[in-house]
Amino acid sequence: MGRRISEKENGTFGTEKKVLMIKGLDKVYKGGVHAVKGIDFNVNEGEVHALLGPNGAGKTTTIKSALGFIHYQGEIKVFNEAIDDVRPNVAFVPEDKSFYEFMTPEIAIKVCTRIVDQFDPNMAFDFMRRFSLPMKKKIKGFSHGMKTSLYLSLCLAQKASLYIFDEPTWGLDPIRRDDVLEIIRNLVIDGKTVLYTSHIISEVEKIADRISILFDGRILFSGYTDDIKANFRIFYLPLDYRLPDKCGFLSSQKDREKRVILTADEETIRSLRQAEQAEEVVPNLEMFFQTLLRGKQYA
Amino acid sequence: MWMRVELRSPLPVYEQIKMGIKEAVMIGKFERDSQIPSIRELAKDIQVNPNTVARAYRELESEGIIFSRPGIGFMINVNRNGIKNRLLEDLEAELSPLIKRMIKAGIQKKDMNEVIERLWEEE
Amino acid sequence: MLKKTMMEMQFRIVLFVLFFVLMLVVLIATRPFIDEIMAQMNFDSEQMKNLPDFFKNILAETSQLSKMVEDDQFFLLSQWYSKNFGQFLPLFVLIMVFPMFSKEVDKGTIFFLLSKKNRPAIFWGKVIPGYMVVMGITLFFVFIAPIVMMLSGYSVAFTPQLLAMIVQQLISVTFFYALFLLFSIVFNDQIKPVLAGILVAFGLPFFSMFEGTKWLNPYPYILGQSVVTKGTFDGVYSVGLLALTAVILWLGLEVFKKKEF
Repeated sequence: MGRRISEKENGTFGTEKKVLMIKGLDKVYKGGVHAVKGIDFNVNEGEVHALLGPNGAGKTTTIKSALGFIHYQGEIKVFNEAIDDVRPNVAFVPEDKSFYEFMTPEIAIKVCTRIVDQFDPNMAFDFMRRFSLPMKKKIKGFSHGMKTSLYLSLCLAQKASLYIFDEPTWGLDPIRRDDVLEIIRNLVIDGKTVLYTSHIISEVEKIADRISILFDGRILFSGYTDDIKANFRIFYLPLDYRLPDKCGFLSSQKDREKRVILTADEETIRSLRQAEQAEEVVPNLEMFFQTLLRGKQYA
Repeated sequence: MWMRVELRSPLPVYEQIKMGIKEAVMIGKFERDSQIPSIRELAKDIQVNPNTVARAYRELESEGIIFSRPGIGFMINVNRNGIKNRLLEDLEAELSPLIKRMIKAGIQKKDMNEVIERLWEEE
Repeated sequence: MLKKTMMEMQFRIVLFVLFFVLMLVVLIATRPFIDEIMAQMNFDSEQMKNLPDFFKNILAETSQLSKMVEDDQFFLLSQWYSKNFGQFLPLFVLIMVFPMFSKEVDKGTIFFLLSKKNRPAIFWGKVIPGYMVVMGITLFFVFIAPIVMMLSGYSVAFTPQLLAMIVQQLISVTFFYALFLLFSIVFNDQIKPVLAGILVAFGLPFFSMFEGTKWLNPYPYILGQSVVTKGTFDGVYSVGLLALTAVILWLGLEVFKKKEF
């Protein structure tokens, strides 16, 4: 088994400074939907932090709370301040990448130059050219991919320190998707911080430093992507296998034919290895995510 | 592409990168004092987070396998033999608990050797 | 955000400028003929429908009526401000204002603004330029009408009565601006603010039906009834409307600040 990783060893281009700090976030919408049930969540400077989870898990609610779009209970600090005081330093690309349909990309840049703080029109031009956007065509006729490119260009031209992307690669063709990931990599090299949500787990695994998995308003796991393979194991055991008394696992469930245990507890791993017919697997992010979600949590 | 990251591998990405560099030295792609790709370049080539590459390089540096020249980049610090020794050290570290387990279970050295032979042939 | 606001309104600006210009041209062109029509007028119920309510009060003295119609100044006050232009003011403001906030929410572009600026900044960044546009058009047409009549050779002057009429109409526009702005903030789609606005614009006159609620109908004020019939400026109503405007504006800001998106 690989060397256990401590949290402090990670964090390279950035520091341990908390760019986003969320404490006890709780949100109940009118109508009774309890979207977020008291979560704690941090994003460190210089990291790429992915927020994973199925629809309705609370990802968008968390982001909207951080940005001050909705009211919430709990405490949120961005760069150690209230979001209203640091907006120029935060750039946001929402899931719905709608922009003003009557504008052209050229006009959009002009408008942003006036409205947006710390906006660099030349950067915007460069990005748009790179994305091959038609500068004089009305945004009304744009495809989803083009709208994404437009929105990204405008946001990246804002010299922010924290970039929040909600499903940035959804609906994009592979080439544009690679472009987006390349952009995120470059942001990392520049020491920027990225928080984003995604459904595409294989993509997340390669680009995210840390991930937080949200489900039904709670965080099931928050930690370094590398941790998962280094510390966690999935065991497939016979259904009738009796678990040892002092057993610590993150999730345990019954498959069709097997009992599936996901754990990082060293003792548990050692004892489960000795079980007959035990199959041990090092989980990649996809397996980790699926197993975690399908299983019920036991302490 | 001389290095590829496998999501199915049991090794975390940064470990795969470390292995990749070591293997590249073993097969002669890099020699002692030759320069390896910068963090940025490698991150782009294999499409991973630059932090991950940075971490791999940091660990390789602390293991003495590479060193950094400010303003120039990262260079290989050991020759093929040096790598070989390190890899064998890694192998020993990985195998040791496993072999202890086998001995405890009563497996004979001869049986273990058979397994090693067979696995070697398969590759 | 002035340029952006103007770009968003550009089609409607052109529409209303053309509309009011046309209205003014037609009015002045038919000036000579109105004389004859009015002079020949009897208690013809058909024609009576075309007159604002308060005209019916003074119809008893038809001889005086025709004399008054010969008066260019009276024509200007009663036909432009009190009728054609004045009646359209609420609708004009409604159409200019209704999508100001509601369209951004409807189309999802509000998130762009919300992430870049704080609520008060967004609010004033829309409200002030919008007001400048609406007032700009209003000011243009309240002043251009007498000027054009003067240039056409009619005897018209900027009397205190005329100025009183202008001030009342500017205050009226300001009031409706704040009110329809509030509708645009409260509703999240583009249709409800229009419906609410139309309900208000066409429903307010009904308050005149009952003696006790008569004052709730602002149309006599908007159309300058006191100015035309008595030559006086309605100071009380003016102050009241301005105070109400301030309250509605404050309300709009508070609602927008607390709203969830």
